[in-house]
Amino acid sequence: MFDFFASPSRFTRITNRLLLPLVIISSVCALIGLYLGLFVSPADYQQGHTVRIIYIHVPAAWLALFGYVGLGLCGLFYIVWRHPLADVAARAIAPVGTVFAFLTLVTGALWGKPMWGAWWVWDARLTSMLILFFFYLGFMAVANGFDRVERGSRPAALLALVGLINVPIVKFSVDWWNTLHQPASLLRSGGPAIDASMLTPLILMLVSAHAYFTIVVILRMRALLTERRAAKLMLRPEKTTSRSLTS
Amino acid sequence: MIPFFAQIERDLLIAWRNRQDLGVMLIFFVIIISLFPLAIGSNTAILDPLAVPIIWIAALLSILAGFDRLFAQDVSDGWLDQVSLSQLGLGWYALAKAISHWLSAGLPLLIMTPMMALMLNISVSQFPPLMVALLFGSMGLTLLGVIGAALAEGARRGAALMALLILPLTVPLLIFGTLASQSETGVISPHLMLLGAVFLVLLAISPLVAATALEIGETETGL
Amino acid sequence: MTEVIDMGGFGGYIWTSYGFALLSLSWLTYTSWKKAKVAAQQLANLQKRQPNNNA
Repeated sequence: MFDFFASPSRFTRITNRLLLPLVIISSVCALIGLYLGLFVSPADYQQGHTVRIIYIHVPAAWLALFGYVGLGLCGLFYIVWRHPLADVAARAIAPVGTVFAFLTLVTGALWGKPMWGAWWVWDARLTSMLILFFFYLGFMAVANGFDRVERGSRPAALLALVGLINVPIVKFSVDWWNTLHQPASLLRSGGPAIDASMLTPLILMLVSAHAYFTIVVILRMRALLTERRAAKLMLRPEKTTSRSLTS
Repeated sequence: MIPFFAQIERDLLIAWRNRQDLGVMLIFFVIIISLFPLAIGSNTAILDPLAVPIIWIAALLSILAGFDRLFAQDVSDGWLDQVSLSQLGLGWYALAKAISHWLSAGLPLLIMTPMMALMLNISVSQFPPLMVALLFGSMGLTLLGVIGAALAEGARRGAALMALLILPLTVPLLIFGTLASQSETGVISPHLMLLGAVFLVLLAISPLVAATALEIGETETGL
Repeated sequence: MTEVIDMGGFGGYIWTSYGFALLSLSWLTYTSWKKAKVAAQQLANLQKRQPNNNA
């Protein structure tokens, strides 16, 4: 089945048709979601308006996690089946996931300060997200850490795979650590109970974020595929139009 | 089986011939531990609760330092190629490396720990949980180091890269290790069980991952 | 209008969050798009210089 996607030119044709619909979905959902989230949805009875940060924070966190799972799957496909697009997809996903993870951390801090009085708390979820952020950085560091770029593809894929196994263990240990070190957890699990007036903008923003994520990953994959084609051309000996000595 | 032990013996012999490296590592361990009180201040009310974590962090950094060069010598003199073609295979080779590295670095560090613990005013009754936890922790860190060294082998900035790769993965060892060290219920505690579990997972995956990574490096060197 | 900007006193945090999101995602989009564009340009240049057999 995945042979279907193995051809880069087919990939380009399919993604070309996807881009415009995705852009429309992403922008429309974002506009409605932002309008509802910022102006229509109610302020929380405890947190006031700061709860509105949820409409950025939750999609960002979700996509950061989604990206990490995607990275792991790409790693699996590349190591086990040597699927050519898997490496390209992984290298495209990593920076996007990193930005979303960082966005999660920043919006988390900006939400935390008015809510808990501190810019950073060593809460289980924030800490896990921080580790995920480091993990993304590590992936990009290995993937690009060798003089020959392709040399880094498989170690990076291996790391992504190890991460897929290990990051849940890390998450578990951090949750454990958190419950022991902060028995009176300030962040009730799940946050405020989600009411329908908040759920709608949240879902819209999630859809928009997914679409946006896909758009950017497609763009980056295209860039990478084009770069690789160009690199191959550069290796080919130049054919001159005039007569050469050997032909 | 014999090649496996021969590999361990070889690495131990090489480590013995370079035994000043061990001294350097142990001094590094002591210095890091000493830096904490210097930075925190001698107020024992603040320092004492931090004693166990300080030892763990110092142990972590000391064990992982220099790991990036673990396979470098064997790669450059062709030994790795021989191993991959031999009966031993890269997986057992990686495990052998982990064992010999722990024997030549982790174990001495463990032996030095009681002295450091006294310096940090840890009560002697806390030594058994601390030592057992560090036993598993040091072995786990060694296995993680082998993974990192294999992944980063041949990379530019190998040491920094290795640290970036491995440090997030050391978190469970650090968390369960420090909790197990501070156990109030004697040596055996739920945290020790969890630490042991993480160690076993690492024991299972480390040789496999390292072998795969080394093989990648092997087939792609040159050019 | 001031009430929207003020957001019950939390305006700074809220608008900084949204603003940062807008900035970082715009930057990400722009650099990704630029990357694709530059690569396509490079490829086009290379293909011009060589008869395009099997690129």
